[in-house]
Amino acid sequence: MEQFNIEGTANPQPTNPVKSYKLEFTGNGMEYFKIQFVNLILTIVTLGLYSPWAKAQRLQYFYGHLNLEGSRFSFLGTGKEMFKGFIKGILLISALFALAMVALKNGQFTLYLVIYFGSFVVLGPLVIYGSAKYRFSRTAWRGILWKYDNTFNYVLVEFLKGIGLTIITLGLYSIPFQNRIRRIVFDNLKFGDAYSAYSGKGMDFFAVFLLNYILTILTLGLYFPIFIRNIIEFNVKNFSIYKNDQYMEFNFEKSNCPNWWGLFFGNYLLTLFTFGLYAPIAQVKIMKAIVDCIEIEGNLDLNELVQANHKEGEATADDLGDLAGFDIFF
Amino acid sequence: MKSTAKYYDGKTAQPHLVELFLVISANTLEVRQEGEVILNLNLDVVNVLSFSEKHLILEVNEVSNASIEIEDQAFIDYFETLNSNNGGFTLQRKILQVTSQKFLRFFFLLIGFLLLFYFVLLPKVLSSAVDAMSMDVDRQIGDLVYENLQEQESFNFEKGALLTEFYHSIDSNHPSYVQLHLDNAPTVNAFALPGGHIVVYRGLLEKMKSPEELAALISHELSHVEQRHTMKMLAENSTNAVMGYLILGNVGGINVGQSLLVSMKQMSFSRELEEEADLEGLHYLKKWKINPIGFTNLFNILKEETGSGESQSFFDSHPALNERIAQIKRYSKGQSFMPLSEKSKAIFKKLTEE
Repeated sequence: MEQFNIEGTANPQPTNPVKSYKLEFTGNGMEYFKIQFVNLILTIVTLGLYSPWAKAQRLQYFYGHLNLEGSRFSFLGTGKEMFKGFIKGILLISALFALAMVALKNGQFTLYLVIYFGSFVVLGPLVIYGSAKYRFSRTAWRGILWKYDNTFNYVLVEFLKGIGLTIITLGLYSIPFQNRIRRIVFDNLKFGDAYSAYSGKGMDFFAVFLLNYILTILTLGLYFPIFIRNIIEFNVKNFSIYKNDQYMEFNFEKSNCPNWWGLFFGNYLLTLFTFGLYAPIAQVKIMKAIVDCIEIEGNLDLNELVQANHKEGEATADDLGDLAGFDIFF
Repeated sequence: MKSTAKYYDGKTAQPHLVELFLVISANTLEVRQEGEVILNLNLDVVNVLSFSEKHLILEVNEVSNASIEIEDQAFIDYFETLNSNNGGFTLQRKILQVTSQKFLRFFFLLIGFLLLFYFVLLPKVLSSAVDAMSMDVDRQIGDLVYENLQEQESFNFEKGALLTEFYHSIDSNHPSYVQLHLDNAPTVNAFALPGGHIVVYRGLLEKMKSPEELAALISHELSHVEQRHTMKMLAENSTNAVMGYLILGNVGGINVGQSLLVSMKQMSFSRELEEEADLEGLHYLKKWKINPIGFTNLFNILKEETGSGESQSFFDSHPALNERIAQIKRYSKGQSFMPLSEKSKAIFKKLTEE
């Protein structure tokens, strides 16, 4: 680890007191709606080509309104980068498709199958790895960059293990698989010189999921908003940030949460009756609700975070991620 | 103008308090730390990393990631007025400067215009476009479908020829492209393909008691052909699919609402076309001087078959049968007609004999 001489001090830090960190989302439904509406028109008029720029706008809005300890996040990515990535993604998929077709035409059926299934198997981890690498390298807070620190090999192996388990368990593992992917993305991130940890266990997630799922069925769907909240709670509670022996623990305080049931169904009905036009406002409301419920406690001195990462990575896989419908949590 | 802000040197997350001095004449921002000027930012080209109505983060150095986080409202407001090109945020900031009232006014105007276009203008344009197309297209499509039908269905070609003869006997001006066919299936129905192929099912023919009913059926199906209804339905369906995907697909992805709306529109259009076919059919009967009672009897046959006449829902492709009967009665008042020729009656007898 690099060592920075911060203002000349060489003394070891005394144990910091435990405190609460302030996390706020200051977004406004109407504002975001205006932005998304213009995005919509431009996207339609350009037959979809504007999408990467619309996405950049969306991320800039959400990042810019997320306030941690008085400082906002910045999204440093651009529509242009993501557009290039989008094109690369199209070219990659076309090339694979063309290869598969050539194999098929030449009667090499096994080769065709290999390319076909091989693509799925490799594209999954590629999308996850690339998306995470790009997204986190473009995330900054007080100028300090994040970084996705896992290797592609790690993602590939973990993903393949997941696929294997899913096949063996005849699909049952697909539920804990969600937790596995969460771990692949959120474990071992770098935030300056601090690290993140995602400690959710597959079986624990399975238990929570199953319980909530059963309750949702028993209540004929009425329990669904709480189901969603409980999944989010599981994800948040298992996330933490640490640096040496300092830490930031994330918690989900249900008592601070707004009425999830009302929020959820209100959003759903309004979105349905406006044929989707209400969606941007709903997104802002949900983000606000989630952030309101999150509580962070710890003794990590954020002022002493040190810049340890640089802006790297390419936009390709982030957009491949979108093509595959893969949506990252943040 | 003077204010304070937080400077991040890009090496640690430690905030450094700095003072900002705005030099309006040169459009630059002077940043001082502990009295010393540490940098000058050109506000025309400074890169905005993040912003909201209450904060602004300006890039100081792209390589080191040094930045300034400003929360001074006066400065932020001033920066808004600069209208300079500051990276990807320019458009977003311009949008947010528009007041909610102005925006909502524009929004509802746009929605109103789109709805008008989609429900009123577009159908008219499509109709005209189809009318402008040559009938050859209809015929090609119709012929293709008929070829395929021949493989799947069993046709009675003898009776088909008789049907065509019947038609020729009641319409002296019959266009050559109209061909009638009899499908052996016991379905109580009939339909027209674009370009002139008219298929009558045996089930319907067997239920007919008078040749006037057959004449009415032919007049109705003939209208579908001459008015190019199938082509118009095709145009309607495909544009609905495209518009639906383009607009509603991008909005919220709520596909339920999308298909509901589209289905209702399509069914409404289909009912319109059926009504038109009824009316045009009546015109033909008038021209041929045939008793329109045939139409009423025809609908009574259908009523018996489907067991319904009253209720009309948004999802019916045809108008309610009672409505159609009433409409026929209205439009055929005071009409003069003659009994059918002996030839026509003879052909009808032969058709319904076996």
